Amino acid sequence: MNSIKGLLIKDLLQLKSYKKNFILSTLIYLVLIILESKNSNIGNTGPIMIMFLFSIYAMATFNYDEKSKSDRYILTLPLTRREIILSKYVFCISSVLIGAFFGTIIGILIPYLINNIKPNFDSISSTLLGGMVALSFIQSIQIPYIYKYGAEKGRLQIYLVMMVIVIALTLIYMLVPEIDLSFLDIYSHLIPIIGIILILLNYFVSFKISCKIYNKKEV
Amino acid sequence: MNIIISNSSDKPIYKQVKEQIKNEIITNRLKPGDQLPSIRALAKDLGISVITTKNAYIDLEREGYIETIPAKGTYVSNKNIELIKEDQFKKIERLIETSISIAKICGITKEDINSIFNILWEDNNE
Amino acid sequence: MSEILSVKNLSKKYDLFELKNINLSIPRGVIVGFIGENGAGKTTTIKSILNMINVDTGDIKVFGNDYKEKEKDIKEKIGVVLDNSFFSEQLTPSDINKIMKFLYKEWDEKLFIQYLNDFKLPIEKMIKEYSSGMLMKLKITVALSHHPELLILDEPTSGLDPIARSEILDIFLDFIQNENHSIFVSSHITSDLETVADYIVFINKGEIILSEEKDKLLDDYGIVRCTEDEFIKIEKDDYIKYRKNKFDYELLIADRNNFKTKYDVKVIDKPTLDEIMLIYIKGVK
Repeated sequence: MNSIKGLLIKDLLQLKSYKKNFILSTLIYLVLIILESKNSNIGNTGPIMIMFLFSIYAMATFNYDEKSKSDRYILTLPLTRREIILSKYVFCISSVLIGAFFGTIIGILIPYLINNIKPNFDSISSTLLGGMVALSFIQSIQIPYIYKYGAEKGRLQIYLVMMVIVIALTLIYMLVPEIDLSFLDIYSHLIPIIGIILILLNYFVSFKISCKIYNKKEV
Repeated sequence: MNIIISNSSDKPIYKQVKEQIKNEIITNRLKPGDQLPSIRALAKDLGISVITTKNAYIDLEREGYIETIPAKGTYVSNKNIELIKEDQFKKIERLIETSISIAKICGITKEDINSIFNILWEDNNE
Repeated sequence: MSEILSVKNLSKKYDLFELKNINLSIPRGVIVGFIGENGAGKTTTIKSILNMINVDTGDIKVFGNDYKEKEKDIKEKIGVVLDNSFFSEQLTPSDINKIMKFLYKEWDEKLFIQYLNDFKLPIEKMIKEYSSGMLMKLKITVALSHHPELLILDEPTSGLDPIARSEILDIFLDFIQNENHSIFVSSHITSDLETVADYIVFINKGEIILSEEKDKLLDDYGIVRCTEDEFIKIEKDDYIKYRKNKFDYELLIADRNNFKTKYDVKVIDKPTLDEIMLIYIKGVK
């Protein structure tokens, strides 16, 4: 447990020097959200934007590790490879959770302060769940990818993969005629459970794959 | 205690260390019972390796100049320095005797031997 | 005293490079210099010793233990300095202290800060603002602050000025004041190791070609420089390798006193490790 704590502290401290960038980009997001809140229901997009921002910063720690080749150095410390990977997953998942927390606050506060809209908790929680499922998908692909190809090399490829997924989904959405999904409404109470199971499954499978890749990797 | 090490000298470093400690003992600058630095401490102070220093101490011990008391340290031997000197004299006498007998066989004169001796003595001082 | 590190029959094959049957045995209380050209296999050997790469064959024991069973216990007691790899540059020594407190059971914060003060390393300055000499001293400081018994360092003196190099050699001698401690240090600058190392291991093209007590190399080995006429008279068994230069022959011999009594050659020099390495690599038998 201590080993993972140490590695998490390392990642946090690495981000310390990007504090200014981080605060600046959060502020820009906030301004965007406020401007946007005049004409749409910001309770939906705001939290997701904040979650993505946090996740991007968490993933950036891979780049810092790679730049200083510290992954090699870390392997000389009394740590198992499994612990090293686990700490990254904990860090990335935490970034999503913390992002969701701040996102919720913003999603509630801004519409309330600006437009005096009472928070719609149902809408916010379903937005959060949707965002978390999406991010868990993205991170679950990204992390093993980075372990396999490296943070710099993998970056372009990961964007390509993401683009392909988005385009494919859009195409499916466009091509498939509107189906009446109202019959699913009776299962709507299951959606949160399915969402959480999906998130856990994503990370679990991804973690196993990362371990397999990293155990063979020679840094 | 003074120990000066020359890296450019052809003489092995352990011998340089050994001879200089020996000299300190014979000239009574190090007295019987005086404690010597530990092998590792001396190596560090001289900036040389441990084994080099150890080899110097081994030789000094074998020749009776120093003694090591386990877990306590290394001391200048209480053995009479005069006796050690006497031993050395005997050794020198034997070597000179051999030289003289070789010289006599080949008809080399006492003056020749003396001049060889003087040249070598000076060479060694360089 | 028991050996602190033993490597038996280590082999590792890459596409363009191969470690061939490496054997090493390091006792406690000594400094072992690991010498070879760049690309000779020093770093790969060190990575194998630290279980960072999967070897093809070989039995590696550190403190008598196997990595399979006791990887963490072993690494708790090793201090490592790698070439070109450390914490990211945004961190400060004070950050490193916060991290290491959790990573090493035996991390000694007081000792770490004391070393930083001794070496005049500013604790709140980012690593990227450190000079290369300061960075190396910091890396060594970090490697020493959890009371390791074995130090493994890859090229710790390369690229440093003579003052920083001599300070680092002093740290080494300090570390082995404890006779349970050992240092395995690689370098392509042999003169650094000529003074402080107890043993020298030469590696060339992935093979260990010489492993010897340093004093033996410097005090017994010799370089003979002679003419072709003189060279012809020398028996093959009496030299290790020779090199034919434009104006002379250079021979590496294992016992210069014996050689002196047997042959009448004018120049028999005390060798440097560089010269020994050079004739070993470039010479022929």
